[in-house]
Amino acid sequence: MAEQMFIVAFVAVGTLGLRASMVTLLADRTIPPRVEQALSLVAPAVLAGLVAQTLFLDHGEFRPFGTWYVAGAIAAAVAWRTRSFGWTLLAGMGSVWLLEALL
Amino acid sequence: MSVAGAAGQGSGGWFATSGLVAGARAILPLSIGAFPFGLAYGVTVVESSMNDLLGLVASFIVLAGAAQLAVGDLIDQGAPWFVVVGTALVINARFIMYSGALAPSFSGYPKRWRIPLAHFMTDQATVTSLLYNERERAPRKRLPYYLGAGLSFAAAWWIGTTIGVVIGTTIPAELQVGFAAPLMFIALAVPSIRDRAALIAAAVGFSVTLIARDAPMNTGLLIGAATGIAFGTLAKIRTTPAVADERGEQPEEVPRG
Repeated sequence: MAEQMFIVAFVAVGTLGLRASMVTLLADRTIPPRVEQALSLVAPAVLAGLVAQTLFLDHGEFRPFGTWYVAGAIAAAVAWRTRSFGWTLLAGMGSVWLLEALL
Repeated sequence: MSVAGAAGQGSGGWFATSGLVAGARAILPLSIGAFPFGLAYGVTVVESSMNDLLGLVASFIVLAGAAQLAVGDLIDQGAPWFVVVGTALVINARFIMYSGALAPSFSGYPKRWRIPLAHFMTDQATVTSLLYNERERAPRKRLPYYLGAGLSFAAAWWIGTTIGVVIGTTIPAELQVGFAAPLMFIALAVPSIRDRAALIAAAVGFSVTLIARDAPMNTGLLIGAATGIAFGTLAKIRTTPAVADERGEQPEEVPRG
């Protein structure tokens, strides 16, 4: 518990530091273009890694093939087509429920 | 800078209250999406080995869903504290970019407001505000608009999280709430892939995270993300020798609610 408190506090302070960085300390400077390019790739790289970690892995081991894989693929297809957060959530949860009920 | 000094924008004071409502209204479709996301996060907190109250507090003081979910996941896996913190801060490194994009508008705000306001710099509030700032230049309108958008979006996240933590254990297993975590990452990841470099970053980040699953201290995601960013950057450098035309780029396409 103490370690968890420390982790959350550290992440909170660090995150505020990242958010406040350019609007306070560096207000008069601009981000170098190369750095900005790298930062713009943080979201796709990290989020895809998080998909891999939470969908395909379970505590570091490959999750056995099942409904989650299929529902994940359906959700990804809907996300690609609609680019809508709401439709993706609906399609993903809907297909996992349907598949669980059918199989 | 004094508050009065920040005003000076003619009559009506330095803070146009109507902007609060306008910002909240503009972001509403995204706030509606944040509610189930928060709900699912709350439920995953209850199901993980993370302390429930601490998971709830994190929604208020961290206010970043992807990082919060990763923290819960890594704590659950028993990762060392510095890996958990490091991974969360890498996930949140995108806020430096948002901070840079919002800096021109923040320079018109009172200094003591800047850090508290920065706390509400979510993906969604940033993009909503940048769109508004393109057509509105007065700080007395920009500030309340940003605050209205940021605060109302955060409120949806807080309400969702709170309900999720409270009802967490009563949700039956058949509802597969655990699937909400990967699902939310899919819903965020796919719209972030807008060009070839982003696709390479995502594909490499995804594959290397899987390949590095046995890396010591649960550093697989960190290694995957860093490799993905590196490969994506290389791809960008090779395709765009002149980088100047990239400067005005908008950060992050926001999924529609």
